[in-house]
Amino acid sequence: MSFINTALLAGLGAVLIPIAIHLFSRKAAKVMDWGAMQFLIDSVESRKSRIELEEALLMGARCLLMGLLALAVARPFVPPGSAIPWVVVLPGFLLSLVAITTAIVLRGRRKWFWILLLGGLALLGLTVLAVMYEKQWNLKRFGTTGRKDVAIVIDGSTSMQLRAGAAGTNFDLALLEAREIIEKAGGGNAFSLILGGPVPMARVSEPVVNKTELMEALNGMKPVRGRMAAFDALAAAAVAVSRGSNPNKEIIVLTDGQNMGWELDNRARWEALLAGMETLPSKPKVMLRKYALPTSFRNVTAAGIAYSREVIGTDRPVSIDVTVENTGTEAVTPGGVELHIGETVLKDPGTGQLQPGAKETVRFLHQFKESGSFPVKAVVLGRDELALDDETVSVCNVIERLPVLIIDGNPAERFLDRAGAFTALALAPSVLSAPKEGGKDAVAMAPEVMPLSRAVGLGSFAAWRVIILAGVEKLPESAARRLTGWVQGGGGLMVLPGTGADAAFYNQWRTADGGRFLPARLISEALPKDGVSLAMSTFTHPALRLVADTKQSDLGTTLLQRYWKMEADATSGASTGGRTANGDAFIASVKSGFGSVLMASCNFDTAAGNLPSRQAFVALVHQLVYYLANPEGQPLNREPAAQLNLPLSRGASEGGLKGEYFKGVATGQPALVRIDPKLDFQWGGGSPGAGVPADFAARWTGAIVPRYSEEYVFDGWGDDSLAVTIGGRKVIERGGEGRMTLQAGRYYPIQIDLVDGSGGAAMQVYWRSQSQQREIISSDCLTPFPPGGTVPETVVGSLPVAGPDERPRRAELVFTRGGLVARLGEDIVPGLYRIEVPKESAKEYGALLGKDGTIPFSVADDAAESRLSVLGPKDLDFVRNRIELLEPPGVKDIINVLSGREFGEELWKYLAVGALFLLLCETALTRWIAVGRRSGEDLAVDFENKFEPSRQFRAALDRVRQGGGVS
Amino acid sequence: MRLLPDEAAATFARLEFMARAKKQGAMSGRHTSPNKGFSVVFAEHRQYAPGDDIRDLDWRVFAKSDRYYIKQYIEETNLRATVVLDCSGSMKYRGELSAPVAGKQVSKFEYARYLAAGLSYLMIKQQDAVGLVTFDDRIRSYIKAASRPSQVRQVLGELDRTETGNDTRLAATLHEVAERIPSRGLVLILTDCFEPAPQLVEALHHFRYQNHEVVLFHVMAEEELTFPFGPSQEFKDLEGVVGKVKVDPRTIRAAYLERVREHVQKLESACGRLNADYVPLSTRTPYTRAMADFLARRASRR
Repeated sequence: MSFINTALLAGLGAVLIPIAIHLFSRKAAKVMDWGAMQFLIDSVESRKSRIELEEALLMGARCLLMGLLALAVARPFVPPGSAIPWVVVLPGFLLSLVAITTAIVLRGRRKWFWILLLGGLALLGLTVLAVMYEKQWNLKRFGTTGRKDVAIVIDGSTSMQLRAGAAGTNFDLALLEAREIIEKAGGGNAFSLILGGPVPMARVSEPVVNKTELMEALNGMKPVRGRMAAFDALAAAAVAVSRGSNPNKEIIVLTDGQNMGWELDNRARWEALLAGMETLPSKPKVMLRKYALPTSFRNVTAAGIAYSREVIGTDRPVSIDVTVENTGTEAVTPGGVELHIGETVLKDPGTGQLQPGAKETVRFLHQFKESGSFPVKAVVLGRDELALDDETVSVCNVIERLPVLIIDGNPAERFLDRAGAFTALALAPSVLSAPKEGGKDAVAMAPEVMPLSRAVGLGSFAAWRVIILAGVEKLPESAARRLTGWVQGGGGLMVLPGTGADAAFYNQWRTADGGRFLPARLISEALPKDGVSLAMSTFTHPALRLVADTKQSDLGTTLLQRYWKMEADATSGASTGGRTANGDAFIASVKSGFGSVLMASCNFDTAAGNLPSRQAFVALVHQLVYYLANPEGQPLNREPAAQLNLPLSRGASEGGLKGEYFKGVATGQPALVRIDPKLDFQWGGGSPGAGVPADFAARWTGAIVPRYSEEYVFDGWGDDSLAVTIGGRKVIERGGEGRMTLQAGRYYPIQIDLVDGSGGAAMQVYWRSQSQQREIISSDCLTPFPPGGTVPETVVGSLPVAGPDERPRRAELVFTRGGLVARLGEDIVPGLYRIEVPKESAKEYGALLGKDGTIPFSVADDAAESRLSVLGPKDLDFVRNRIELLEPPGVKDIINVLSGREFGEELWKYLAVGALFLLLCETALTRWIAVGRRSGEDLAVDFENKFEPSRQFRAALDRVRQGGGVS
Repeated sequence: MRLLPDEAAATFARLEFMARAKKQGAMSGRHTSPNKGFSVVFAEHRQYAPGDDIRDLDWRVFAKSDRYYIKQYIEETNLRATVVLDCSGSMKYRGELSAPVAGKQVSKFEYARYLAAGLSYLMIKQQDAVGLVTFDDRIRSYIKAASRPSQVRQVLGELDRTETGNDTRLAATLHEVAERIPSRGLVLILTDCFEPAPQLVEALHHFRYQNHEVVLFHVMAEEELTFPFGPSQEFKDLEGVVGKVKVDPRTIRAAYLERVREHVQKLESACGRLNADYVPLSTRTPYTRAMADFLARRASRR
C-alpha cells in the first residue's frame, strides 16, 4: 500500500487532538477543597478499571476516527502487485494509533503504559517503514517521471473481433484506448506500435513522439486472422523500445487475454527474452490491459484443410478434408461448406448441428486436371459472431510427375531379381514396361531404376526429387559427396541397405562438415530364425502414419528374415520412426540441410522377408517417397513465422561452383546467381542467363576437393580476363599456369573471377597432375558450399507480393544452399499470398506457378484462436515471476503510470466509510458510557426532612413570618 | 451579635414569641423529666432501698403494710440540652449552592454554627439549660449546660471563636462526649457524619445508654448530595488526610451518590431504631427554615 498525498499523512497528527483534549482537560482540572473524601475515594476505587476501560475505548475510537480521516485524506492506494499488502499497513497504522492512545489513557498503570506505548511506537515505525519501502519500490517500478519509450502492443487476433459489450469490438476498443493513451500520456513519451498477430507486426517500429504518425498507424490497423503470438510481440516490443533514446521503457499490451502464444511452456525463450531486457537501460514492465470476452457467443470456424496425400498429381483424385469446429458456446448448425479450388466451387450441405466444442470433417473429392499451384479456400456458410474465421485457405501444389531414381545395387537380368524391383513396382507398376518419356502417364510417380554404375556417371541428380539406394553395397566417394550435396540442397534420399551392404561405407558417410550423414549406424546383420515382425505401435514417423493403422494395413504380419541391426544417431538429430517386434530400429530419419534422409534396416526385396508381398507395401513405399519429396507437407502452405522462406527452385548443389553474374563490374547485387557444375563456358556474344547483359562480370565461389595428394598444375583462359584463387593463393592471374600442392579429400576454397568487357565471352579452367590427365575441373571435385563458415546467401532481387490485406509487400529473392528462396520478412498474417513473378523468368518457377502466373502460397491460421482459452492465474504467475507485470484495470491507470503518477486501487472510500462507522461507534460508546454512569438520571440523594409540619403550625409560622402575632 | 444576623434575629424573635405563646414554650417545662423527684405530680411507688431519702418514704403505706415505700413524683425540670458541634476539616466545605446567610455562601460549618447559635439562643430564652461541645479529633471546648441568661453570651461567644480544625474522629469523640455530659439530657449533634455508619451508630448507642435524647443534625452541603461537577476536577482533602484526587466527576457521580445514599439510609434507619431524631439538613435549606421545621417537629411530638 502506498499514498498519493504522502505529505498529508502529517494529518495523522490529528490523532493528537483527542489525546491533547484529554490531557488538557486533566491538566486544567480545578482544585477543589472537598470534604466527603472517603466516598469519593471509594467511588473512584470501585470505578477505576471501568473508567479506564471507557476512556481507553473512547479515546481509541476517537483517535481511530481521526486517523482514518487523516489516512483517507492522504489517499492510500494499493498498487498492482503490491509488495506490502494493505491488510498489513492499514491495520498496522490503526493498531499503533490505538495502542499509543490507550497507553496515554492508561498511563496510571506503568507496566501497561510502557508496553502499549513502546509496542505502538514500534508498530507505527514499522508501518511507516513499510509505506516508505512500498513507495520506493513503487517508484523504482514505475520509474520516475522521466520520459519513456513505450511500445503499445495491440492484439489483432481473430478473437479481438468479438464484442463483450455494446461498445464495439475489443479491437476497436483497443484502438480507442491506444489513441487515448497517446493523446493523454504523450508529454514527451515516445511510442511505438505493434500489431500482434501470429507474427508481431511493428507498425511504428521505433518510438516516436509524432502523434500524427502514430494516429495514422493506428488508423491503418486491422485485425488479422489467427492468434496473437504474445511472446513474440513482447520480444518485438522490447526490441522497439530498445531503439528509443529515453531511459525508461514500458510495454503496454492491449489484449483480450487469450493464453495462446504466450509460450508459457517455453522457459528457455523467456529466459532469453529476459536476458535481452536486462541489457536495456531500465527493464521494461509490461502493463497488461485485458478486455472482457463475451461469456456466450455463436461461432463456427473453418479449422483447417487437409489433403489425403502430400504429393498430389493429376493422375487420381485427392480427397480434401475440411474441418469445421464449433468454438462457440452454443450449438450451431452451419449452413454448408464451400470449397473453392481455383475457379471451381464445390459445395457440401455440410454438417448437422454442432455442439459447442464439436469438430466435424467434410470430405471433398477432387481430381486436378492440370499441374500447378491452386489456392484452395474453404468457407463455412452461415452467420456467426466471428466472420473472420469462417474461411480458411491453403494452396495445393499439383505436380505433373514425381521423378524418383532408384539406384539399383544388383542389376540382375531378371527384373524381379534386381534390388530395386519391388520398390519400383510399388511406385509404378508400369516400370515393367518401358517408361514413356515425356508422355502423360496415368501415374504421377515416375520411378526410374538405374544400375549403380550408370548412376555414378550421371553429371547431376537435379532431375530427381527422390533417390532410393536399393541394396547398394557402397558408393564411390565422389558420388557419395555429390549425393550429400544434393540432399542438403533439398533432395530426399532413401537408403535401403541390402544383404551385401558395406557397413563401413555407410557408417563412414559424412557430410562436408564432417557430421554423420545417415540417420543410423549399421551394426550387424541379423538373421532371425523365425523372422521378426514389425511393431506397429512404434511406427510414429509421420510418413508411417497411414500404414501404422492396423485396421487398414497388414504390415503387422510382416516377417523380416534378414535385416541390419542399426542404431539411430541421436546426436545429429536423427530419430527412429519405427521398430521391429524385438526392438530393433526399422526406419530412421534425419534432416540434412534442406533435404532429408530415410533409412530402413533392410532392402525391400524378397531376401529380407515377406515385406514386398504385403498389401500395405505399396502404400508404405508411396508414403515414404511422398515424405521425402515434401517432408514439410504441401510446400506452399506455411505456418506463420517471422520470416517466410519459400523455395522457388530446388538447390542442385551436389557439385560445381556458385556463380554470381553482375552487370558491368563485380560489385553490388548480382543479376543472377546459380550453380554452375562445370567451369567450361562458351557464351560467344550471348548472355550467360536471364537478366545478365552481354558485357558482364562473374564470380564463382566454392571449394575444390582434389582426388590425390600431389602437386597440381592449373591452367585456363577467360575472355576478357580470368583470375583463379585457391586457398587464398592466386594461382592464375590473367591466364597462364599455376602450380599448387594439394591434399586428397581436403576442401580448398576457390574463387574464380571473370570480367567480360566486350565481345564474346568464354571461360575454361583445367587441372592436371601426375596421377591425372589434363581435364576441365570436373564437377564432382567442386562444391559450391564448402563446409564450415556461414551458409552463403546472396540477395538476387525482390518480387512484389499481394497479401491478404492491401498492404504492399515485397519478397526478397535469395540464393541459398537450398536454391532460390522468396523471403518475406514483414507483415506476415494468415491468409493467401501471391508472389508476382516477372513473365520472363516465369519458366524457372514452372511447377509452382498458378494459373494466373503468380505463385500462390498460404500462411496457416490457428483454429485454436477461436476457442478462447484465456490466461489463467497460473499463467499470469508464470509471467509475473519473470517480468514486472501490471494489470491496470483501466486506461486511466496506464496513463497515470506513463505520466509518472502512481496508480492503484484507491482505498479512501473504504476509510471514509470506516470513519463514518467509527463515528457511529463513538456515539454509541458515549451513549453506553452515559448509561453506565447514569449521567442523565436524577440521582440526587433523598435528603429531605421527612417531617411535614402540621397545617396549624405552618399557618402560625407563616403569620409569624409576615410579622403578625400569634393569637 | 455576629452569629445571629439581623434577619435571623428577627426570625428568632418571632420564633421565640411563637414558642412562648404555646404554653410555656415549645421546649421548656414541657419536657417531662424522666428523673423522678420532688414534685406535686405523683408518679409511682417504689420499694425503699438504703440510700433513699427518708423524706420520700410514704408513711401511710408503711402504716398500712409495714413496708417501706418511696413515693415518686414526676419531676418537671427545665431541659438540659447540649449542642455538640463538629468542627472537623470536612465541615469547612463551602458549596456554592448553599443558602446564603447575610448575602454570603456558608460552609457546612458556618451553617451548623448558625444553627447551633439559633438553637442555643432559643433554648436559653426558654430557660432551658444549654451547653456546648465543640470537637474535631478531640473535644475542643466544653461548656456545661446552664440556663442562666449569661449562658447565651458564653455559648455564642464560644461558637464565634470556634474555627474548624483537623481530621474528625467523630465516633470516638462522641463516645467521650457521651461520657462527659450529664446523663438524661438532650443532645443535639451537628455533624456531617463523615464516619463509617457502624461506628457512628455505636456512638449514638452510647448516648442512648446514657439516657440522652439524641437529635442528629446531619449537615451536608448541597454539592455533596448532588455532585454536580463538570468534566474534570481535582479534589483536595479538607482534612489533609489523603492527597489530591484528580478525576472526571461525571464518571463516578452515580457511584458516589449511591454511597452517600447508602450512608444516609443507614444513619436514618439506625436513628429510627435508637428512637433518635435524624434531621437531614442540606445547606441549601435556609437554616432558619430548618430550625423552624425542627421546632415544629418537636412541637408535634407532644
